[in-house]
Amino acid sequence: MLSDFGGSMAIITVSRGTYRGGVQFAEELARRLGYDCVGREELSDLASDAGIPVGKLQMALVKPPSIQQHLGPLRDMYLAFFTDHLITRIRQSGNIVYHGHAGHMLLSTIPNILRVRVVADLEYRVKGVQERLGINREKAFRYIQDVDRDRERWVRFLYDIDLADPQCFDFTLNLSQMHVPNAASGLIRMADIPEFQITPAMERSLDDLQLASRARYRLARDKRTEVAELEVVADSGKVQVRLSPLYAEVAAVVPEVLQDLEGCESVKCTLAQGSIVWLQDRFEQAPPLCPYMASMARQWDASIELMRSVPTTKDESGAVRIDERVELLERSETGGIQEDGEAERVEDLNQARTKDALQKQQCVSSISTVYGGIDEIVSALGKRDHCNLVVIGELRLSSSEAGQKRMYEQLRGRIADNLGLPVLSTSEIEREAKSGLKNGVLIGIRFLLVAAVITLVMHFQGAITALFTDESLQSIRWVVIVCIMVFVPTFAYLYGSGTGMLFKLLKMK
Amino acid sequence: MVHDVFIHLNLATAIQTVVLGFIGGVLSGFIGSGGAFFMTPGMMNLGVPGVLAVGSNITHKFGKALIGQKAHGEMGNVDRKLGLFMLVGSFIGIRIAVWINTTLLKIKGDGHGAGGSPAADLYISLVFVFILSIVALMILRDALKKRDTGEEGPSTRIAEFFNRLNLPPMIYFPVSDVRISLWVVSIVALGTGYLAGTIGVGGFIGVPAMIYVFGIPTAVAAGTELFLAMFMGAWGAFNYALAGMIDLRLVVLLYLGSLVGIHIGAYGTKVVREKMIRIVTGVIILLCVISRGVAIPVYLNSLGRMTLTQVWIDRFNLASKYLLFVSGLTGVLIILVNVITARRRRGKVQAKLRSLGIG
Repeated sequence: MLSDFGGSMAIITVSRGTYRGGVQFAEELARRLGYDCVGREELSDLASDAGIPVGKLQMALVKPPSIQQHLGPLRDMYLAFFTDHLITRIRQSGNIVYHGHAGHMLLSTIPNILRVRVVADLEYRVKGVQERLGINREKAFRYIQDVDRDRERWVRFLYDIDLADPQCFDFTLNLSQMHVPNAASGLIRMADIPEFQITPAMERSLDDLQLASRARYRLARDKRTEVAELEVVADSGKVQVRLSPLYAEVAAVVPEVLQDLEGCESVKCTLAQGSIVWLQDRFEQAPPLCPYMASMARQWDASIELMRSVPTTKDESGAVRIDERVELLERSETGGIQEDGEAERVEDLNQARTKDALQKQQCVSSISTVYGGIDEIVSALGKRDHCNLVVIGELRLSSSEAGQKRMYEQLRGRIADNLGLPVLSTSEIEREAKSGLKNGVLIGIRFLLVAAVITLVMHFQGAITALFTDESLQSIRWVVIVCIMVFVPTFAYLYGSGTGMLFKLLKMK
Repeated sequence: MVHDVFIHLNLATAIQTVVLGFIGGVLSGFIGSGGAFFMTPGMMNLGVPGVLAVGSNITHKFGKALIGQKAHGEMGNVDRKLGLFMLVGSFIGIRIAVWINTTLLKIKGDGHGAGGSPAADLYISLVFVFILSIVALMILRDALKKRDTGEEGPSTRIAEFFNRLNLPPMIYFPVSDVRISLWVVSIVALGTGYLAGTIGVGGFIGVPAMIYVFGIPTAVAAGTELFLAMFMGAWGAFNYALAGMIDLRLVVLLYLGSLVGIHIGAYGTKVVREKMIRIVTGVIILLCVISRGVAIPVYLNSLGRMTLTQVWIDRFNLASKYLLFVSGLTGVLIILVNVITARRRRGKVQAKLRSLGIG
């Protein structure tokens, strides 16, 4: 059926929950617009048919976070498959309404997509469940809570976002107050506005995203490249794959894996020139430092390795025991880094999320864990041939602030002595990152003060030289000397720190 | 009113002083020294009496060393115990140097500068020429020798010789991990202090002495020397201030240039090959030595030891001045060209990466 508002060409994503009327809304909207309608269940079935263990991914939601993160490569494969097939449907149909939990995230890099969220009051949903499943109110309420919780976990696992964040959507419709057909009618007019029309730029972006997804999927399926931490970008038929230097041996295989990839004209595989190791006990869910770290990595053409340190102690028998506050799947008995192919890696959930956040910033990143103290950390860093910089965050969180500082200084000294690597703290980077405008003002103030001093010195030359030559001032010579001894380093500091900041801004320091 | 010893600072002289500081700063950041080998003779070429040039330069060094040693200290490159043991000897050396300089200052001649002493200027120039020509030749020999033989690391023969002497009391320095006789430490410290107080140059003597005579690692030698320079600078500034031989105007103007140049010079070390750094260093120092050597006949003439016409006096002064500035400017240009080329290259690479959607 052709749209009554003929001529509009759009891609609409509908984010729906349980018993909110989202599916009905999406289907009604597609019918009225004459668009194709695709749901996540359809693509999920296709993924299962292609051999992707979707069930295993879904079961991971009930496992501990440490288990979930083992499935990172599988998750990436799932998302790459989904994206590729969604874009294929878009190509076939021209216009589409996609409904799922967070379909807008699959196409997050594509402009002009109309992103709709459908919600409903709890009472409305409880009634819907009662009618559909024939259960009492209390059970219906618990059912909705369980399903909502699972959905949030699923979306967080896949995309690391908060589903309820309104900034992710262009419109939110509450179907408790509206009939579905009327809600669909209301949105049709929005689909017609120029901001949500398919443009040539949008089409090019879709092509690039589809090519990158296909490449990512193929690399994730191939045994030789499935474990590599890499970033895939496509641009007009050219595929760029960037790898962490830890996976140098994979680089040679990538072109072979991507041979004859549909739509791919050329493959370029590059290794990051070095790596920055970001070391701390715990990573935040979305560290505010990520954009600055990613920017630093891009400037240095480096990857970032997120190294989590797990403190250990020795009990009376001399056996190494891991701090009880850490949840583990398996405990390493060797101490030091757990390498790929050895005992399963234990990673903090937030460590993996930080990695995802960095990859969203187009930064190749990897994760690892080191057990033990300073010796083990230094030993682990020593194995990193390509490490350019070590960034140290909070260590020994259970210790006092003085203890943490001592640990940091000791570790910094050992790394400098043994490995000759530069070390920065996250607080230093935060200060630098936040200082932008403030630095500019400080530089300006310093230079103004210096200019004032220079002007005064040149204007009162006679008086200054008379300090030493005037016989009547001999009695206060000691005062003059003390003033000089204070003035000179103060001036040097004032001016020197200003020029230092200026050259840092110019990235020459 | 500007008094006898202090030159009149007009705009032209002030700009020249700033440029002097800038060149000295670039060279100092590049080579890792304080820059006095250029700034001291440079100031003398501007007409500043030698003693005043040394006093002003050592005061300038004091402020810079105070800031610079912080970074080295944080990296753990400072052997404070060794530094403190060397302090006493170096303080005595500086005191001796100040006494000699100020005594010679009282011997008046025709005057080379505004109101200085040719005797003091001659003495400073001779010490400068003698010591720094040895340093320059050693640096050039070292740079060329490495290319031919591929040897790594400094020679330890001298250090081992002194260790074998075993002159008590022997002191162990844990950061450097060496045992040295207190006599050896004191003599080196005395020499370093004397030279710092005489010509304002400390690092060129102190650092090689620590490496070759004490046998300590290069990074620790550089860091410890900077730690020492802070105190030597303070003591030197204090002593010269007591003698009334500091021109605060020159100190401030030198900072204006040197604290900009030092960053460019330090950046230059990243983009210039190490062998080239050593060759440039050696050549510049040699040219500074020749520049100072050319001025010596003028002082001899002032003291009545030679007879020169005014034409020749002017020629020697001009040659000395231009030789120094040409050497300094040439060195700075080499560094700046390399810095600018490296920045442009980097900018192109970044732009290319951006166009490919990476970074």
